[in-house]
Amino acid sequence: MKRFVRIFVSLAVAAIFVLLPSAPVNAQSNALSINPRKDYNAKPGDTINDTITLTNLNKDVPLYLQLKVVDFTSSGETGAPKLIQKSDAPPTAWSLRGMLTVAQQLTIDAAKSATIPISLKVPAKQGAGSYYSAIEYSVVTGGSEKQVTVAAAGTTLVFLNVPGTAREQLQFVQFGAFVPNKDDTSGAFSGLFVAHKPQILAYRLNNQGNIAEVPQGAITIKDMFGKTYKQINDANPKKQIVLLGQTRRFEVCMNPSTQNTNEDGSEVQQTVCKDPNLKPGRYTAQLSLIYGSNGNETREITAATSFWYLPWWFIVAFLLVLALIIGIVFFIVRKIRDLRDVHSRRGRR
Amino acid sequence: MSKRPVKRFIKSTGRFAVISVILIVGFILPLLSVGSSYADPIKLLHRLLQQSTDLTGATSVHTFRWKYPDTELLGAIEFDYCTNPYANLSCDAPDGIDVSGATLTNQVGETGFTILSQTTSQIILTRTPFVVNPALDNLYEFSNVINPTTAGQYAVRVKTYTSADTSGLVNDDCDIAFSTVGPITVNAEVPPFLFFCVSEFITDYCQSSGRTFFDFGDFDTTQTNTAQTQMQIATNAQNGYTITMGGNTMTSSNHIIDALSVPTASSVGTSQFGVNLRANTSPAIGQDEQGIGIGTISPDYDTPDLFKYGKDDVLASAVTGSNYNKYTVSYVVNVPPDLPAGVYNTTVTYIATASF
Repeated sequence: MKRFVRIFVSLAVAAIFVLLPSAPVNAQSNALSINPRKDYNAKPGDTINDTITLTNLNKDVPLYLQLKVVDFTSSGETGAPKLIQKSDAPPTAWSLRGMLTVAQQLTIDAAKSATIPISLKVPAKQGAGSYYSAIEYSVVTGGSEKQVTVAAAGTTLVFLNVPGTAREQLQFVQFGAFVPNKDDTSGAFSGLFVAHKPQILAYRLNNQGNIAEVPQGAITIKDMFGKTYKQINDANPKKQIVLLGQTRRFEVCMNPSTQNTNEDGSEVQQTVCKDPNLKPGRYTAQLSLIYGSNGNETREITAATSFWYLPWWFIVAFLLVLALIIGIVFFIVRKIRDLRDVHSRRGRR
Repeated sequence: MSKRPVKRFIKSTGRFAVISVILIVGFILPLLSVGSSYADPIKLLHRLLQQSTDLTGATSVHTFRWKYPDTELLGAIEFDYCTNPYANLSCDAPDGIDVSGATLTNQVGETGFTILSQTTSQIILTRTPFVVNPALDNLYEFSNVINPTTAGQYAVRVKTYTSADTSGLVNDDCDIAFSTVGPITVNAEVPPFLFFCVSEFITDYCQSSGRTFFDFGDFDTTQTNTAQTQMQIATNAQNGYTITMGGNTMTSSNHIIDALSVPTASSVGTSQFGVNLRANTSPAIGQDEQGIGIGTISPDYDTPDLFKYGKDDVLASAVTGSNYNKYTVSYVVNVPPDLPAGVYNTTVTYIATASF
């Protein structure tokens, strides 16, 4: 009997070791929902107390998070933030690291939300301008000894505007018809479109001030007969920001289309750029922008550009018509000359 | 061939060329010269609006300051609160703006104005027409202005008229920028969100997932070692999202498997660590992007059978709000026969951020 028990226990222990890896092994969630951005206005000496809500999307296992405040800058001319992850990196000139306080760790049960306090204390001598950093939420991976561990992280971008007399200076760089690459990180300005219709106008602004600017304005597009083809009432429809020192490219769709999509109960508005219905010809566009914060001078930027839309079929048709006209004129000239020759020959006789 | 027909040919083709040039120039020159000029109205100088509070819906004092650009006849000033600047557009009043109860509480510089008329979004000041002094700094302060109730950017269009009742000529026509901000705690109807998850596999919109780690086992020098994970993302942030990749290549002590710094095909027997986000055939691994979102894969990670690993590289992004997209990350590891023995590992962190 003892022997039977020993064998049974040995088999049971062996079974536990064998079965362990096939049990649900991910004891922690890697799925989170965050608030992507927070904007604040505060005077020097003010303290802002706010909360951020985080959700563990996983319905089975808890989410362990590590929180820290990191600085960021712009990634090229786009609005993608580039996080400065080096632990020994000095704070940027616009850093909130010394002002922003958040919890360092957080555990959220499966399919639950947690609200955490954040505090933003603006020093009494803080100068007017824009300040920004990001709160990074990194999933704690638990120090796996596996060869590759993957971890999710999310960020909340935090922007603070300290009012007062600030240095506001946007420098105009470029304006024109633009063709972005597939992921919209770069592209090319062009004045002639043959294969495709232009769909996007873009302008580039360089921020030389100490306020992150959100320019507003309009664009008027006219055809070659001076008739207004399109009036774009909002030249910055997504309220995009030019960070300090950044050259930012703003893209404006000539014929935007917004679609509300609903999946998993979350309604999202997606904007796509549709065919602008341009006819062949030359177009001019005028850009008028203003910017300026509360109590600061309103500044203005104006620029104009032109572009041609000449599809292949139009070029071929144009050349054919031109050749026909030239042929007819040549034929008429020839006929007139022949008639003149006949008359002069008759005269000589 | 005699000389006479040649001369005749040159003569006729010469005429032909002249006619052609005239026609072409006649067609194209008018196109080039049309529609490139715009009239720019005269603008008030150093213009600004100071709000006592820029909170949405708050009762505020709006103080306008400017200088007149030149000597000009002035009888009336019109203030229009609009959702957008630019004189050529119609002025749509911001939600909630109310200046119908505003009072002119102070004026400095060129003074003597009284309120001629006011609506919820417009105030017209009047006085007996006179010639302004461009050297003066001018200030017009209105109390009891109710700010727009939606946070955002707006403009006040200011026009000056030669007559006392806005029936005369317009002298200046310009915009002054202003903005409002919401209170800290906003119970928005649809709060901004960014959903993101990473795992071996993902189902039910991040509600269920597989492991967050994997082993290649003992590296095989005669074939490519492969694995894959998935990530899913959605956001209603109007500027979309960016997913970047953090973490180093696989290392063991001070030995490393080389990260592919440019998109490269998998090559057995060499030192390679790379990823991409496409369905590959060589080796057969991965899946193309799925979902109804508008996210796109960065070009360096968007070619089947080419792999790269760049720390802090952007893997995928969307330029506006985007519903769910699921990306499958394929990992390839190739090792040379002389790779020093050891446990090679890495932690790859995928960071999702909203764009601004």
